[in-house]
Amino acid sequence: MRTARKPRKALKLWEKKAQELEKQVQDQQSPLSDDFQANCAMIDAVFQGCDDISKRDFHIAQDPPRPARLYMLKGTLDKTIINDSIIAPLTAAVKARGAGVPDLISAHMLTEVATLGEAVQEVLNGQVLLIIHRQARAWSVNAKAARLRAVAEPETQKVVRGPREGLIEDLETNLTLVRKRLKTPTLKIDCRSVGRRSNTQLAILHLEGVADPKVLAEVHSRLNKIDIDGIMDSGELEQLIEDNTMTVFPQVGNTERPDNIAAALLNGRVAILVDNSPFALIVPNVLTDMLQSSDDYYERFQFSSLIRILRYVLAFVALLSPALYVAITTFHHEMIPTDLLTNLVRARAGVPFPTVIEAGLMELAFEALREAGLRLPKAVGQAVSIVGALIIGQAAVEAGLVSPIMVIVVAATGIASFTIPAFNGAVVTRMLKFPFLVAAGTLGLYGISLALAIIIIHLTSLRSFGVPYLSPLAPITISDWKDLIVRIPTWAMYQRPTFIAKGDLQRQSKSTAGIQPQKMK
Amino acid sequence: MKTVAVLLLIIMLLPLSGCWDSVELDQLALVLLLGIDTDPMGDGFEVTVHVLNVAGGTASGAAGTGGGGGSKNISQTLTLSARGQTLSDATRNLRGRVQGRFSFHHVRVVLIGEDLARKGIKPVLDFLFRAQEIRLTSYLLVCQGTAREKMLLAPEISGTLDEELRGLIEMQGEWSKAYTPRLLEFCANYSDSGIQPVAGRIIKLTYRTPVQPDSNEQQTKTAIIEGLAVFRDDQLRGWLTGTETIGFRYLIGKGGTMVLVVPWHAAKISIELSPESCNLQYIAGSNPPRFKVSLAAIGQVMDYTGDIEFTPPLLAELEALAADMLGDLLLKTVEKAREMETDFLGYGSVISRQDPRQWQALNKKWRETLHAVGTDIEVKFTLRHTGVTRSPLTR
Repeated sequence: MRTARKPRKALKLWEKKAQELEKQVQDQQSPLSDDFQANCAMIDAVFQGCDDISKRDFHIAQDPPRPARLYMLKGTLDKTIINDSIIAPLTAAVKARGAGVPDLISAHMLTEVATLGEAVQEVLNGQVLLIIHRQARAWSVNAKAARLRAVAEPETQKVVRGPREGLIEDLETNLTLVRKRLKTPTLKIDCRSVGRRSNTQLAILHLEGVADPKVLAEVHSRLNKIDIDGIMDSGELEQLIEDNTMTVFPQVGNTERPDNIAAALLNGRVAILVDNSPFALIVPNVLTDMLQSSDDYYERFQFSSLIRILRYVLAFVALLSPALYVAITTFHHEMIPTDLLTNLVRARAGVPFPTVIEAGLMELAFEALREAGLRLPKAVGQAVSIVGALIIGQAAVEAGLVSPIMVIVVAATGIASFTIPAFNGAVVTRMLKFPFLVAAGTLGLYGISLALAIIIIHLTSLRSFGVPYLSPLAPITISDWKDLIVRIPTWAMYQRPTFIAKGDLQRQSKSTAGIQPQKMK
Repeated sequence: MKTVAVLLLIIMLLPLSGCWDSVELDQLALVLLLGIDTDPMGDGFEVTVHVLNVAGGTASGAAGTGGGGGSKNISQTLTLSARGQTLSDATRNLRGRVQGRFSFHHVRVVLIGEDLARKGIKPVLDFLFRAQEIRLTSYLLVCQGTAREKMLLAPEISGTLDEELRGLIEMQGEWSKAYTPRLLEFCANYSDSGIQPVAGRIIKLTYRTPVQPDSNEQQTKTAIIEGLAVFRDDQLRGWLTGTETIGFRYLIGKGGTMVLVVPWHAAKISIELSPESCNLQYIAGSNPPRFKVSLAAIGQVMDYTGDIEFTPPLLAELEALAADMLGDLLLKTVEKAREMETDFLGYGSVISRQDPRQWQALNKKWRETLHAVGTDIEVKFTLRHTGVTRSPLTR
C-alpha cells in the first residue's frame, strides 16, 4: 500500500499551492479604491511581466482635467472603436458636468467593474478597461475586433443536405449560430468560466420547459465540482463530467453543427459550448444517438430509414466481421456453403499464420494506416495511402502473408466503421473488434456470444446524466422507437423523445399531424 | 487492484483452451463426395471419397494409394478409398492417407453401389443417420455398378463431380425423368410401413466424341442421373426407367415439367406439360383396395413436325389425346409397382391416413394384397396456348 501513500503527500502539497492561489484571487477581489494612482499601481503590479498588455494615459476634458488610463490587450482590439468611441469623446471638449462616463463613451457595450479581480479579468478577456481619477470603479468597454476563423463547413459531420455552417473557436459566434436557430426567450444560456488559470468561458444551453431539470441540475453540479487549471477543448471537459470513465462508450455527445445543437435542444437535451472549441457537448447521449445523423431528418423518411437500417447493420459489421470470419473458418466450417468453403480453403493455402493472427495483423496494419493518414501533412498523406493500400491489398497477398479474403474482411470492417456518423461511436467499434477477435480465436462463436453478452450487460449498467444508456431500447419506451431504427415521417413525429424531454412533449399539434396524410380530392 | 488482477487472470485463462477444436482451413481435408460399396475382398465395406485438392485446378489429380487414383481430368479433387469391416472402420482407415482433418460436413451427395444396395443398406443408413457430420439433406443415389467406378468419372462441365451431380439433381424438375430424394426423406420412408423408399439412379454413359473434326474418335465416359432405384425395405428391388419415373413423380405429387410427344397422323406434336394438382385417394371401403388418381395438368405446344393450323376443335382433340397418353403413362408406373410387389407409391400410407382401421387389417399382408390393388386414373388436361404463333411459318 506504499503506492497509495505517495500521491496523498503530493496532494497535500498541491492543496497548499491551491490555497495560496486562492488567497491571491481573494486579494484581487478587494474593491477598487477611488485613488487613481493606487488602482493603477495595483493593476500594474498584477500585470507585471505581461508585455502584451498596453496602456494609454490621457486626460478627460473636464474642468479640471481628470487623468484616466486605458488597459487593453494588444492585438485583439478594434483601433477605430478605441480612438473614435472612447478616447475621442472623452478628450473632446465636454464640459457638461452632469454627464457620466456611460453617456460619453459611444461603444455598444459598457460594463461597470467594481473589484480589482474583475478588472484584471476583463482586460484578459479582451475588453478595454477604463480607470478614471477619483472613481472607485472602472469601466470595461467592448472593442473586440473580429479576428476569427470564418464560419465554414464542419470537417467531421458532413451532410449531403442541410446547413453548411459549423461551429468555430469563438464562443460568442457559436452562441449566435444557435440563437439564430432558436429565437425564443425560453432558450436559456448560462455563461460561466472554468479553469483557474485558463478562465475558459463556457455556456450551458437548454430550453426551459423542455429540458429535464434533473439533467440540468446534474450538469450544473458536475461543472461546479470542476477544479482544474485549464481546459483546452470541450473534449477535456467531457472527460471531467461524464458518468463513467472506465468504459469505451462515450456518454457525452459532441457536434460541430449548430443545427444539431438546436435540434438536440428541441429534444430536451442540454448543450455545453466551450470557448476555443468548435465542438459542443450534448447530454444526455445514449448509444443509439451515435448512429443518427442530422440529415436523417432533412432527407425524406424512406431514404433516411433505409440508411439508418444500413448503419445498424454496418455497425455490427465493423464490430464483428473479423471475429466472425475467424470463428467460422476455424471452428464452424460446416456453416459455410460448400462452394464458398472450397474457395476459402484454396485462398488460405500456404498462409503461414493461424487465422486469428492473420486477422489481428491485418487489422493492426489498417489501424496504423488510418492513424498515419490522419497525422501526415496533406501532401504526403496521399502517397502514404497509396503505398499502404498497395502493401495491404496486394503485396501482402502476393507474398503469401495473408489470404485475399482477409483483405476483403478488413476492408469491409474499415468501410463499415466509416459509416458510423459519430466519430466517438466509430472509435468504439475500432477498439472493441480486437477483444472480439481474441474471443473468436479462442472460443469461436461461443466466445463471440459471450463477449457480446458481457458488453450488453456493461451497456445496461451505463447511464448518461441519469438517463439509461440503452434507452429507448432498455428500458423500453415504444413511443420513442419512431426515431430509432427507422425514422417515421416528420408529420408523425409530433412528440419529443419521452426518455429525454420533460414537461412540454408536444412538437406538433396532433391536428396538424392528422391533416398531413389526407389525399387530394 | 483486485478486480484488475481477476480480470487479467480471466483473460489469461482464455488461451488455455488452446483453441482445442479449431482447425485452420488449410489443415482441412474436405470430403465432397462419399461412395459406399461392398468390399470386393471381404464382407466389409469399401468407402470411396473425393477430397478437395487444395492446390486445385493446377495440379493433376494425384493418385490415392488405395483408391486407384483419380483420372487425369480430375484435378480439383483426390479420389481415395479404403476398406474396413464396418463403415466407421473404413472411414477411419482413410485417415492414414491424407494429411489434415477429415470433414464430412460438406458431403451433399452419397453414392451407394448396386451390390451393396441389393445386399441391404441398413448398416449404411445407420451410419449416415447416426453420424454428426453427415447432413440429412444430402442426396442419396444408387449406382448401376459400383460407386467407386462412378466416382472415377470426370466431370464434364463443373470443376468437381459432386458439383456436377448436384447440378443434375437440382434441375431434375425440368424433365421429370429422374428423382433424387434427400437422405432424410429416404430414412423417413424407410421407417414408414406404408411406403417403400426410393433413391436416385446414376448410370455411366459412354459416348464417342470427336475431339477435333479430323482426329480419331475418342470415348468419353460420364455419369448421368436418370430413373429411379426402388427399394423394398433396405434392399434394392429394381430400377425404374426415365419414363416410369415421370409417372412416379406425378403420382406422388412432385411432378415437374415434362415433354409429351403426341403422334398426330403422320406428324408428331410435342407438348410441354406441368402438373397443377394430383390427388391419390383411397376409395373408402373397397376391398381389395381401389384407388382413384385425379390429375390436372396444363401445357403448351412446343413444336410439331407437319403442316397444320391449330384451330379450337383440333386443340380439343389434342387435349383429349394428351390426357389419354398421360393416363397411360401413370398406369405404367402403377403396373410396375404391382409387378415389383413394392409399394413405392405410398398406397399404404394413403389408406392409413384415410382409414387407419382398415390399414391395421391390411398392413400385415400388404405385399400380397398389392397385386390386387386397382387404380382408376382420371386426367384433366388443358392446353393453355400454342406458343407465340398459331400457324406455322409458310412461304
